[in-house]
Amino acid sequence: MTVSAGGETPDVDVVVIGGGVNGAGVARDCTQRGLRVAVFERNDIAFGASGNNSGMIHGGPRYLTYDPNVTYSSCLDSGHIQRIAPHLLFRIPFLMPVHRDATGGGRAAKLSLTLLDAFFDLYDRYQPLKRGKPHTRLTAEELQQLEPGLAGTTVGGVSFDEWGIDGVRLCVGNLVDAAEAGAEVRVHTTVTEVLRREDGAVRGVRYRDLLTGESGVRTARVVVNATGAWAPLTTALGGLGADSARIRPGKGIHVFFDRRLTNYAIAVRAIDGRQVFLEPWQNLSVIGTTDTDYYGDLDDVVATTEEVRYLIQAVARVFPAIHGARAIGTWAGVRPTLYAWGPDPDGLSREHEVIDHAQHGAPGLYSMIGGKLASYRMFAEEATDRIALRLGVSERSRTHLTALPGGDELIDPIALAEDAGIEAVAGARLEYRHGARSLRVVERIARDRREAAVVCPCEPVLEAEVRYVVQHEWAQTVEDVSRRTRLGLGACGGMRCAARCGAIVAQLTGRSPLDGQRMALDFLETAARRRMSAVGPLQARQEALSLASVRAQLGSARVIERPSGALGPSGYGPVQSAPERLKGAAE
Amino acid sequence: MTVLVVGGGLAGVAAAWSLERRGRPVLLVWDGPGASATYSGALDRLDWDGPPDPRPVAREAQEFLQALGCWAPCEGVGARLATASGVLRPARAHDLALLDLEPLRGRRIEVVDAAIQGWDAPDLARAWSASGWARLTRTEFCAVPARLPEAEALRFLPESELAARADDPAWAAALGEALRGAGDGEAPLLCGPWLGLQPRSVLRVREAARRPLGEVLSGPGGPAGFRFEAARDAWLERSSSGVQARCGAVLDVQQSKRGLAVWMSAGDGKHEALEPAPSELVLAVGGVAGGGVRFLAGTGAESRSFSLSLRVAGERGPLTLRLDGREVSLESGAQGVDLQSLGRGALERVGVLVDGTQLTAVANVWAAGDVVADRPRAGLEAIYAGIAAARGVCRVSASQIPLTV
Repeated sequence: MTVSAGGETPDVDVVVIGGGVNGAGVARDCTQRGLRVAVFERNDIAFGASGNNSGMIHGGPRYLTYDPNVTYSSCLDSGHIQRIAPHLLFRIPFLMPVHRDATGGGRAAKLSLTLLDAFFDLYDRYQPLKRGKPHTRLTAEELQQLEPGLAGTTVGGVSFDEWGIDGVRLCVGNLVDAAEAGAEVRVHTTVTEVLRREDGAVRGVRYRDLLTGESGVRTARVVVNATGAWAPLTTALGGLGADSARIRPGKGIHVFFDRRLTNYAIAVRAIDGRQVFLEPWQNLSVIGTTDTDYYGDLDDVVATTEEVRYLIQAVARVFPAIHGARAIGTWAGVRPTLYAWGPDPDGLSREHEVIDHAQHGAPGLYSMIGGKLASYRMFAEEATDRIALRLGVSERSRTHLTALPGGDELIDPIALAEDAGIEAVAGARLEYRHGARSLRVVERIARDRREAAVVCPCEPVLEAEVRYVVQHEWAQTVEDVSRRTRLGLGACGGMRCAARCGAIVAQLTGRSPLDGQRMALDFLETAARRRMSAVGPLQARQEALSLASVRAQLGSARVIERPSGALGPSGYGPVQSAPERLKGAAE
Repeated sequence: MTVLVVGGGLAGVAAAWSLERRGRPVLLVWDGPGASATYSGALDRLDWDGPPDPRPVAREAQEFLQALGCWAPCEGVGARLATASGVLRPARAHDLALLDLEPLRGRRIEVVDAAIQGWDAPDLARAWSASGWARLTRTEFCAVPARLPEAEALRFLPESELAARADDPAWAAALGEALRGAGDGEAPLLCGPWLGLQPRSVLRVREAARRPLGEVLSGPGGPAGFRFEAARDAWLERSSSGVQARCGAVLDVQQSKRGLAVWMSAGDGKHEALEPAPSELVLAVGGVAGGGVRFLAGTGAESRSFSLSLRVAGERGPLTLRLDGREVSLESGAQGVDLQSLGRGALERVGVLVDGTQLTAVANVWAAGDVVADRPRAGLEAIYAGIAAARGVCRVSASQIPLTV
């Protein structure tokens, strides 16, 4: 825009570090206000907490008692998200049964139900903000009728209303929108240093592409640290002290099961009194979540058997059929909660905060700490307001008024499927993920009939979509494709589709077939590791059989031939140069 | 006296075959398909992606492969097979439907390019041509368009259903006809796992095609496992005298004065004793490849008197072995067998044949297949173990070694 104080013209106005929901949101808002933006993501879009959460933009009733502001802002912004991305939302009605035995007698239980009823009366005031339905008080018989799998003697319960969302799609949507307005988006690219001038102000970042090994500098007037749980590590790259961007890292895991086991989500109390839940989510059932302080490797967070057992034990008390359900995987993420010493992790607020590091001698560097999926847009607006003030931009945020890609028009998935000659369920899943943009995906099928082939039968995912997300949504590996399309996350764990997906990704990114095979093996290995903590002995039998099948075809990762020549740290062969990739994304 | 073989996979069938040819009456019992029913069509003794295995296939194993009729004769250096993941891998022996590339070194191999789910012939041809073996031997792969019968209907069929169609002789002939016209009509032709669930269907397609022609390896649930099961069933029908076969779960085996008292499931939650009581037992119930068998020394009341029991808790629950009142459970775990934590003693005390030769405490119980191994085994190793168990049974009963506990 203008020449900065140092006399040099920076490459961009704002560098955003982090491709989670905070980074994606702030990148979109900045671009909409006319700022030039570059986004660097070390792993992949929504790799951390944004892609590994409960998949809800809930109003946060549990904050109501001690921090109603969180509930208000969550509900309000949840309503905004519904307007800009209607295709990504699905209703999740909750049941909260009150058990006789849990409260030590019938009278106490009835009292507790009355209190709960009153509590949700309060929550109902916020529901219209997000088009939620008011709660209902239910008798024990009504509960049983709604969800016959419920066990234990209840005195009744309440229902309340929440919305589900695919967090990865939300992040991708924000970044695609930013890129189409001119932002540069680089995934698998780590920032190795936050560059500062002699007077301490930031002047950009040094980065390295982890796939190509290519490195460079992007100068900027403002650098936003939106790296979630990585935030303290990121400020340290600028030479700031460890306490400049403190967070309390809270690990949360989810276990997911094949198919929807219930029609309603069920909120239950765990053995330690914490609230956990079982929810129908997309074509899965999900149980969650835990909340424990975490100080391990943030790039490799995996659910442990103990955590899985804790959740299953809690849910089984109210819904015993969970024991017979088929666990097909786990998610684990680390919440970047605001730092506070003392309270239980659950008692920590999910409210957010923008830190201006001018107070630490680094003007131009901002850290976004905390936040949650439901109010990501509001947080991004707050951060962008601060940036705009610094850069002298007076424009206001419009991110709640303009649709996310695919959210501008509602598409009938059945008609879409009929027109494209694909199965209705494939059409419906495609429409869910891409909204009106699903038309662009099926256009590919009209051009080449072969792209109607089903790559992943569990989800299902068509070849056209795999190709689309590689060319337009920065997917560079099988795992990236899986994150965007849910390929390989169904009952077969990628056994049938990983190799085919790897071949397509390698072909499109100009890598060798061997690299495609290696990517597939890496994906299968990671998926198996995430699944292992959730499967019981009988399922382990099937697991071993499937692994044997894959090994007959692909061998094992440790010995597959590796291409010679220069490799990026992740070990795959050379890919197309970055400008070509970006060109593909902007098309 | 009758030998009871539990398990109808590669190891169990090999044991039954070997016992029968040694003149022993055999009862083969199994309860549904296991690892062998999902094998890829390739047989090895070691992991194929490890160091090469220089040992030729033993004669008795070769005879077994021939006798069952679903495998190609194995000779020389072994075979080279293509997988649908774009890999060319070695194998000691293989399903007869698969195309062995070893004798076709340096040739141009044509790959059937047809609109079938998940079959991207140009991409596969590229991947195979780029692999180390193809470059070394200057073997080339190229996709050639082929118009399969009912092409429109096939487009959305899963591969296994495509293979099932080829079991119809008319369809097999039409498929062969179509493949005959693909490409230059002469070069060896590689196609997906579509040639039939019966070994004889493959022969029909080949007859109509009149050119060298074969499949890539089967994926999970592919036709190779079906062809093994079909060959097993046909063999059992042929040998009406020796081997009796029965489907069902073995629930309990106890040592008795008359031999082994065996209880089997008889439907509706009932069980019945097997008559006459068998004298020996070969356990071939699957191992790591079949689900990861792990031997765990459990806790239980110590008892001086010898007893061995094997029970299946519930319908498909974990199999347990009891020895001297102590439970030795066979528990599956995808991590594989951890025998080291137990020491081999645990295995030997239930009379398991370790490494094919060693005879231990309980002479009339033998194991075959992955149960004997402390690591994942490949199909050919399972066959070896079955034959070794059969040999052991016959040698011991011939020399009348008394039972020692």
